Amino acid sequence: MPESVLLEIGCEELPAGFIAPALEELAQLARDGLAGARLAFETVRATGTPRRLALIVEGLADRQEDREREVTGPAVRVAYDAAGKPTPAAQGFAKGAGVAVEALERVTTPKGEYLLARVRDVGRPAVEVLPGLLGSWVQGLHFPKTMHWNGPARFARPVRWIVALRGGSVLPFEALGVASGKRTRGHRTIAPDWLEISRPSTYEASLRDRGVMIDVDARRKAIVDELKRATGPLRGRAVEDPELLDEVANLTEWPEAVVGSFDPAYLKLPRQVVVTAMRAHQRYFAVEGEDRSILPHFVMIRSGRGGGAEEIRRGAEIVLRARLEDARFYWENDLKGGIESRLPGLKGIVWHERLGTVYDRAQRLAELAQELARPLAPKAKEAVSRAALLCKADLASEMVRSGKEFASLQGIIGAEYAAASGESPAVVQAIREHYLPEGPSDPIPSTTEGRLLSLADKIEAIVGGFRAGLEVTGSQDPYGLRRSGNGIVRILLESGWRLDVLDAARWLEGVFDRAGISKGGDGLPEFWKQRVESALLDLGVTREAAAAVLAVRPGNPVDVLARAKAIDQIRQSEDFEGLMIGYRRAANILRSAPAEDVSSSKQPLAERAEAFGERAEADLHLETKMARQAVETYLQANPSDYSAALRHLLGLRSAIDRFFEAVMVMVDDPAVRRRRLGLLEDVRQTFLRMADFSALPSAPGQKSV
Amino acid sequence: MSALKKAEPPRTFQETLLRLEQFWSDRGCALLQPYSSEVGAGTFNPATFFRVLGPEPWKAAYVEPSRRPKDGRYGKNPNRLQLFYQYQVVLKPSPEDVLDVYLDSLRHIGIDLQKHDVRFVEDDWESPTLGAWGLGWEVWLDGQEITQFTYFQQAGGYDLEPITAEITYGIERIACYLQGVDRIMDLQWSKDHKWEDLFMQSEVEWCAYNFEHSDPALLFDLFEKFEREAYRLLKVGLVLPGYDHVIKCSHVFNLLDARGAISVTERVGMIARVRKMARAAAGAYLKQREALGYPLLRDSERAGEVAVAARA
Repeated sequence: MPESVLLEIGCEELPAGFIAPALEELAQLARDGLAGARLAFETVRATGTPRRLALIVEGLADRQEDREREVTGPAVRVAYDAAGKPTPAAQGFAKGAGVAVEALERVTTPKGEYLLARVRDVGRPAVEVLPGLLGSWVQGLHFPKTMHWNGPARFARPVRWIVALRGGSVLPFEALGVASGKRTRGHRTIAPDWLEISRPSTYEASLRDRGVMIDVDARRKAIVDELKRATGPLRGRAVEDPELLDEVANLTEWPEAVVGSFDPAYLKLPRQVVVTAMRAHQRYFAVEGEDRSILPHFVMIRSGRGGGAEEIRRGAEIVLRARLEDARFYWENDLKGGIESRLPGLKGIVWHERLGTVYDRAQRLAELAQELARPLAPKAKEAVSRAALLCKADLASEMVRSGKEFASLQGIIGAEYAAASGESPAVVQAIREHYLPEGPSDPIPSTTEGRLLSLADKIEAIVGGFRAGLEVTGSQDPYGLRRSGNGIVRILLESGWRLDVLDAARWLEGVFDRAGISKGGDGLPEFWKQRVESALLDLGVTREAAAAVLAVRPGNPVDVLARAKAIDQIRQSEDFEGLMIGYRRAANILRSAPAEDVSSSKQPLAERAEAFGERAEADLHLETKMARQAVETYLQANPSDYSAALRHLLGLRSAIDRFFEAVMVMVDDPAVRRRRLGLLEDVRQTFLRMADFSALPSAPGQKSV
Repeated sequence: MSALKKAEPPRTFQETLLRLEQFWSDRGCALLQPYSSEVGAGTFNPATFFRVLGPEPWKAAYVEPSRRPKDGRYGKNPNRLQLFYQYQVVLKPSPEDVLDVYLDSLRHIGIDLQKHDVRFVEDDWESPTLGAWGLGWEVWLDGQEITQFTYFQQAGGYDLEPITAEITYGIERIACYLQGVDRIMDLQWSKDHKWEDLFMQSEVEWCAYNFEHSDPALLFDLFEKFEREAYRLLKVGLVLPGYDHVIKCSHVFNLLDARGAISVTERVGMIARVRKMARAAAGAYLKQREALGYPLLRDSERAGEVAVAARA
């Protein structure tokens, strides 16, 4: 009869962030493990709290399914003697496979005839198989960081008990130095004693009685309800914060809200500072009114229930007051003298030992931001260069330097100080937003000035990073260079700004050179291509088209994307594949020809057809010339019309085909050979204005994933 | 001590300490006295830094006056001091019920856990100067961090086995809590004296020294000399005197840091120098204990140790 199975790994408090991934892994291990063991089940569910990772399998079969296997044995020629009697080889094989010699069959393979045994594995009872499986799951979990506590076992935190039950019976095994059993423990302070779980079906209710809400989602929902209940009487609501909600749900076994208050005088501090003082260290929820202004209250989610709310509130208020007091101390100190007075402090903060201080960096940012503004938004030049000078000043402020939890507010703090020092709104906003986007789900800066400054900040970080010899490999992303690269691509694409980042990088190299900072490796172009490529793929461009366009002028993402889209579109047409056959042939001939023979026929393009020996040569010359002119025209249009340019390239198909029908390229006469190679090189160069088409595979429209 | 009396919170700072001392004494800890050199934390005391190394079991508890020159505020910030007290407990190997015992210690000093919110919040502890790290928690009492709990994994760069549990109580904070005061300065130290009466003058003077009057040239010179001395002593097998000079270097570094005399790059370099010294001291200690035949090993553990050695 199917039964339920319960596994509970009892731990000392796991880090909140480890719990969800571990539960996911546990469920996956169980599903795969049961399937591999031919044990049928209805549902697998993993859930837990900081002190327990639980797995509940419902409707688990009581035995493994039977299975028939075919096992190949020795060759028939060695399996029977002259008299046709089985040799020891055949007998041994039959014995090993667990079948009678008479039951052996034969199978014909390319290598000859072999013996075959049909083996029937009779399923073993689940109770025999499960202990080993469960033990392997406990030991198969991974965590970002693990530790020893006693002996060789490793886990995120010490494991102190394991419950393993199938129905009412223990599934006995040992894992991580702990023997499985029936005993678990309740909430640390509500019901700290050991208790026995009689069967899986009573598990959740037994824990509930002892102050443990085992289900993560139930706790999250309980917190949402508690926040509503607690903030209702305050005519406010908890500031929405899904990240904090997830974390707090995994910091508690039984969430309950406690409301506290603080002196409204602290509301003179910037909103972000007040909210951060509550959330960063304390994990309190801030409370806002209907007009979204912060109210002088907070909600703390305790782990527990019943008495003591008054004591807890008092304690929570004292801690928060100390943190707000620290913030006010920093804020008032920092404001003395205005934001500009912080700049000299940047000279004491080393950005990177080879790249100088943050002060040096701010100077470079100001230069680069101006250079970027020139073509993109000339009117923003003044504001953005002012913002660039000031944008790192908050790193020298007490709030960011000494405040620990406020360090995450870099940029925001700088903006507040700039505003308080009377800087213009454009400057303030640019400072506030210049770290954006930090992750793929962050928005890009909202203002022109903010975008320019963010671009400058990120381009400088990357160019500097490569100068300093930083390496971006695998999961390593020193100084967030990869993230910066992605940010640049997104800002340019989402703004529709045409900027060649590699040109800007080259310009900036000059600034580094003049500052006497030595050159680094040459990995930047490759790094950049990868950043653009990943953005293109995200936007649905095929890998082949991305490779083709990135081989040519990869610096300007808007332009690269337009070319890639045009190519992906035209690749579907039959004409294009025909054209590619001719193009590839030309490219192959050029590749194998001696380099000294290949040079573009150079211009002037006004020669008469008679200069060519064959009509087809003259035609190709003329058609290429016209296509080239058309392509250039469309390329120079604003914005470039790559679809039109491609259509003109398609027109070259018949000229190329006729050329190859009419003439041999690699003839003995060196003058003729060079002339014809020159023609093909002209064709190739014309195509290369858009992309390296030889990167496209021959069958069109096959999207690879 | 009667059960009734236990439940009552202690009225003075020293009573809180006495209760902790009694509690850990009852659980078999050697009660030690503070170390006689300036340290930034109880971890620097050889009773922790050395004893966590190697196979020998160890249980000890002690108060450690901890100097953090940079944290001083001339006594004006209600809970920041340049000299505060830690109550340090080290248990090696870490007992299976160590967290239960810890919670019992809180009950013992008068905290009714039913009425409070106790939480173990992830905290990975690391001391770059000691080349030591461990995993554990900040223990929160109603949102206030009152204890640092760490399972030591490495010290002086050496992997540890068996593992030590280190419990570091922030006793001023706990006492403030128990006495219902918001400022450390208002703590009732003894029946007749408040913290302010006893230590305010000292706090102000030391802040003035740390921030304004210490002599960076002298301190840089001392750092160099202490460093040389540490290596010289370790080389001739004087492990403890050698390590004392490592501690001195660490403190001198903290003084220079508070004075703002160290640039960011120098900072990294000096921390690395202290770590290198600490590693040398740890290595010398391990060799010394092995040569002495691990005197603190009990016979049963000795058998295990021999088995481990044979496997290795």
